[in-house]
Amino acid sequence: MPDVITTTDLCKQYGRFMRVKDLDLRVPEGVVYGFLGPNGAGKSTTMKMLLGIARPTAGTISVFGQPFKSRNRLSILKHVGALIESPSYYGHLTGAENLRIICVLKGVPVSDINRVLQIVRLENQQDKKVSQYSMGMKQRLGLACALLGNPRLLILDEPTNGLDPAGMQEMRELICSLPQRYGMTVMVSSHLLSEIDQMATDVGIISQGELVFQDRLASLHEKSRPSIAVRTLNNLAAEKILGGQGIACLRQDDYLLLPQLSDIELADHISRLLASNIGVVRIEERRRSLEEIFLELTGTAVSL
Amino acid sequence: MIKSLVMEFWKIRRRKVWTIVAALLFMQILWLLWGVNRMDAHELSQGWMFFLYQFPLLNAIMVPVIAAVTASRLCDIEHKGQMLKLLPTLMPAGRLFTAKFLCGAFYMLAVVLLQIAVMVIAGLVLGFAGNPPLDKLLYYLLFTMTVSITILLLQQVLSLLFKNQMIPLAVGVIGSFAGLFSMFLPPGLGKFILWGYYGVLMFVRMDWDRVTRITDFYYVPVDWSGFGILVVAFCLIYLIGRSLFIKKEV
Repeated sequence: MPDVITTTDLCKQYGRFMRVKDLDLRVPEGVVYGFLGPNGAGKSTTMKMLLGIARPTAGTISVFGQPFKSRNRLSILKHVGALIESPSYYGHLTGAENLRIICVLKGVPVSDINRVLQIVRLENQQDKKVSQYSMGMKQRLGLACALLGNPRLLILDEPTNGLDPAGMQEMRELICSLPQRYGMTVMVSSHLLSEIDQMATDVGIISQGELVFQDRLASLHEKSRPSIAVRTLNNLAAEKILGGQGIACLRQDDYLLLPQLSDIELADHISRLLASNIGVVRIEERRRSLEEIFLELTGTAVSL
Repeated sequence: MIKSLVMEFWKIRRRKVWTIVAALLFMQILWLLWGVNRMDAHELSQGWMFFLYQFPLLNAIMVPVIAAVTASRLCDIEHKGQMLKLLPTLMPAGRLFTAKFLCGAFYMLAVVLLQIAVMVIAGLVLGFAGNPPLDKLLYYLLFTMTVSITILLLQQVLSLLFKNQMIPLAVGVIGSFAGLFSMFLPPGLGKFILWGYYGVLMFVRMDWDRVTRITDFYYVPVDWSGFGILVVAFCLIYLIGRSLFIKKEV
């Protein structure tokens, strides 16, 4: 799949502080890309640079395979919908009037308003002033604005902020459905690992401005597969014997980490070690949670 | 640009921008009409000059406040709803700046045209000597508009750059006082104060005889060099302000 967004050595410096450092993002087409990181990691800054509302200090951005420059920025952004941090709106106007302004500025037919209102389920509130909307309704209006014109790419920065649990679940389901229903690519940021786990197919983890992980979400799950930790009185000899049986061992402290084995296979290997006079003193099953992996990658406590 | 300008007017629906403009203008007109209701024959013979003297004087006090409030009403809708994060992804920031300015300038033009209409109607009703001096009224339109839109432009730059609208509003109020006081400074000094240009570009002067207590008005040549400086100031404020707004990151 071609990449919809590519960045190379993307940096953003504010004063002396490097907010984003050498970021190499790859967002494939047709996926929900979860951009995960603790608060203040540089997620919003990165997304602002992808939209051209913050200028990179260094590095390049490419969107839809085209270099993202100030001269072609708006022609590229015609195919991009965005919701950055909190929704943007005119409180004294109704929801429909807000959407009409975006329609005209985007060059999208006004008839598209009803479609997006139905998607976000705001059709019954469209004639109410936005200042009277709840936070959840404002967030849905923000998403409706982003969906106008059926863009190829959606950039959503913490879209579930301020929503109640039911609203969060509704928003997540909606985001998950977008690639299949409308063929969109969605880049969604969050500081909540569980949220990204529920929505994304691909994930990028940013910590202190640096990308510390980027791959399919499945490969992050792969890292959390259980393993067997065995401690013997002679790990070196044990490793050699197990290696001879085709078992790849990983040394960790005083333990040998074995891949997941069936009980019979494990009993068989342990018997072999005992037969070779290697004392087995500990056998443990270890499983790292996604949170532990996140913590290891970012060195920061994760919000659940 | 037309699309962007139409959207600016669309955005300020229910904002009642015109109410503050109308209220201040109403006060200004009441003030002037109160001054003309007991005119004698001598004063009626100089009625047109009286208006062309009094209106710029009152403009120096009131129009900077009207400009500050108008610019603030047009710009704070963008800050309140955090629209400055979204709009630059839909349109060039420079176009937004220009469309907003043209929208505000429309209100300034409405103010000046209403003032002229009041002058003409009041003059004809009260029976001022002679026909309305069209050439002088056109000068008044040109000079008042140029000063007003330059002040509006400065106010717009401040209202867009500062989220807290108290800052531009305070500048507007201080400016109106500065403009008024600059009229009492030696000629030439007023040219250093933007708000003083209502006085600099006045082409009617007043001569008050202490002994006879008779006021005479007379025309003086237009200060075209002052007008030139003002046009340069407008261009500089426009270029610098627009560039600052475009470069501003949210």
